[in-house]
Amino acid sequence: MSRAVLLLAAALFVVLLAAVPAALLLDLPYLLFLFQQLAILATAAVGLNLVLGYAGLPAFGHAAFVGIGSYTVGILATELPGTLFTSAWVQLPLAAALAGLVAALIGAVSLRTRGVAFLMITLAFGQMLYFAAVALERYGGDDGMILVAPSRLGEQNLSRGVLSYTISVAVLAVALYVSFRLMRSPFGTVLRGAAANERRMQAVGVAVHRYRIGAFAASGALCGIAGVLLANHTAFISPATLAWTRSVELAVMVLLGGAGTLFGPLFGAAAFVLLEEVLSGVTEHWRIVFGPLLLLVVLAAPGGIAGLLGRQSND
Amino acid sequence: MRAVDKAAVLAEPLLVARGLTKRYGGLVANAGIDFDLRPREVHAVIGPNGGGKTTLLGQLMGEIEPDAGTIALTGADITALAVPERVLRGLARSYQVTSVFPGFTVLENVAFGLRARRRTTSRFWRAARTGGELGEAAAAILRRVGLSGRSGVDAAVLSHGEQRQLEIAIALSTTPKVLLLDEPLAGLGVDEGRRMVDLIASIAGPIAIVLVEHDMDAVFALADRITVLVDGAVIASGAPDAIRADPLMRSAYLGEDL
Ligand SMILES: Nc1ncnc2c1ncn2[C@@H]1O[C@H](COP(=O)(O)OP(=O)(O)O)[C@@H](O)[C@H]1O
Ligand SMILES: [Mg+2]
Repeated sequence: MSRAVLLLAAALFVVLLAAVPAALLLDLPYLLFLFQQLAILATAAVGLNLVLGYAGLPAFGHAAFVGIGSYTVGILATELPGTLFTSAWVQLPLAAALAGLVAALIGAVSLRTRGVAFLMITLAFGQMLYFAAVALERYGGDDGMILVAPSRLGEQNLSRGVLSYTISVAVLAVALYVSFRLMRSPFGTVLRGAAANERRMQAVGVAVHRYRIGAFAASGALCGIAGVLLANHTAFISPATLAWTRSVELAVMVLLGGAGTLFGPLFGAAAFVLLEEVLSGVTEHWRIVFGPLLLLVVLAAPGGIAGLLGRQSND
Repeated sequence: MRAVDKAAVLAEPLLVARGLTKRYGGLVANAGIDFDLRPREVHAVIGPNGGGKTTLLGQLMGEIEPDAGTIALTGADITALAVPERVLRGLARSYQVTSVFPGFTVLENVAFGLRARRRTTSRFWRAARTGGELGEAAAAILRRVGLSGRSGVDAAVLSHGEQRQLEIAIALSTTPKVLLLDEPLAGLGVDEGRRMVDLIASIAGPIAIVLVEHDMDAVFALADRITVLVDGAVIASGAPDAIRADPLMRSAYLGEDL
């Protein structure tokens, strides 16, 4: 990993942490709101990067796994308020397990196809879950629902505030550490090797399919955890979280930051969130500028931001 | 089959294929091929381009699903087994068009097969190490193929000749009983080709080899038995001398190469 990549990653974490005193001193709660969104999206992008980046599989339905995490929180808050099930300690592992399981199942089916067909089928599965969320009349259907009981953490909870913010940043750090451990392990090495030459990997005795399903599970679990945090962050859960455009946004973050690199998703999420913020302040038609701008960056620098900062080894 | 099979049946064949058939639309790439490989044998498969040699190897390896026929390895039917399962039972192959892991060092290229054999590829938390016993095994393989000095180099930047050597090293990393080599001399210069023949000779024996090759000098230097494939069918099979002497063979194929 290049020095510049490490420095930028460290700088971003310093900024994320320094934002707490800065926001308190300068009375800028919006700063924390924005940066927390950044941290949560980066966590989901770290998850997607396992599949889209390291494993080299064009998966474009990962917003659904974020949605599973969010709806887990929303449904438990509605159905079982005041119980153990609104505790973050229960919701986080539960959401991770659910999203991981669904991701593994979707992966197992999608992985029967390749290339564009794979992309389309992951997109289709994402849409299926989106419409499933729309169909949940009891939970607001199309309109979604307000989170009536944020995830509890001891005496406090994961709604707004410094604790919630700090936890989102800590979760991002943990996600990056998990990604780091997974991808330099034999398992991760197989995933990367199969992306480089799948037929050869089979021919040395590795049943590639299983490893990719494993990558989907880990990827989905991280997205599910991000979904729990996101539901608390916005205090609102709706099918919009699962929209295919969200999946594309996550993929753009990964590609923009540097697919298949450890910190790429962090860089991509930061660039995405900050650009969106700046551009939307300048013009309300920011999307018209944003889309082509992203396209340009991805075309001009196929290795993304991490690639621009220097050759990055895989660990 | 015209050439007389003079090689005595010394032992149960390691690998037996019966009636292997593969069609691509109207084209019959393999038309009911019977083929076997005995322990310690180098069995060359020759024939003109498009004869069906690569298709045969692909079916033996499990990469191409036969339309008909059966394959047995050490007496067990493996026709329905997927590629990785066949590998764990002792099959390995090299490819006509070089197929290595670009972006990985030479050492890492060999480590994949070593880990698969040790069944440690699913470990997901501890770092993948290339030292210790695995490193020694890798170094031994790289020494064997003549890539010792290159273990830290990205496979993508190796010369073509070195990549052909790595191709063999990757196949050896799975500790095969049976090795399928698809034109190992393809694209090699004279000296490199000679070294490749020496390399194949040095691994032959404990590992039985199916050798697909166009270079007739290499074939006659290495083969214990030769099968000739033309238009997907075996037109001759037997000892090298018998194949060399066969008049139909001379006109059908060898004429152009000898
Ligand atoms: N995937 C494929 N689709 C269609 N035709 C194929 C395919 N693979 C091989 N063939 C055809 O099958 C025949 C045998 O090919 P191959 O086994 O590669 O021959 P060889 O290795 O002896 O040169 C050729 O005519 C080739 O064009
Ligand atoms: Mg061929």
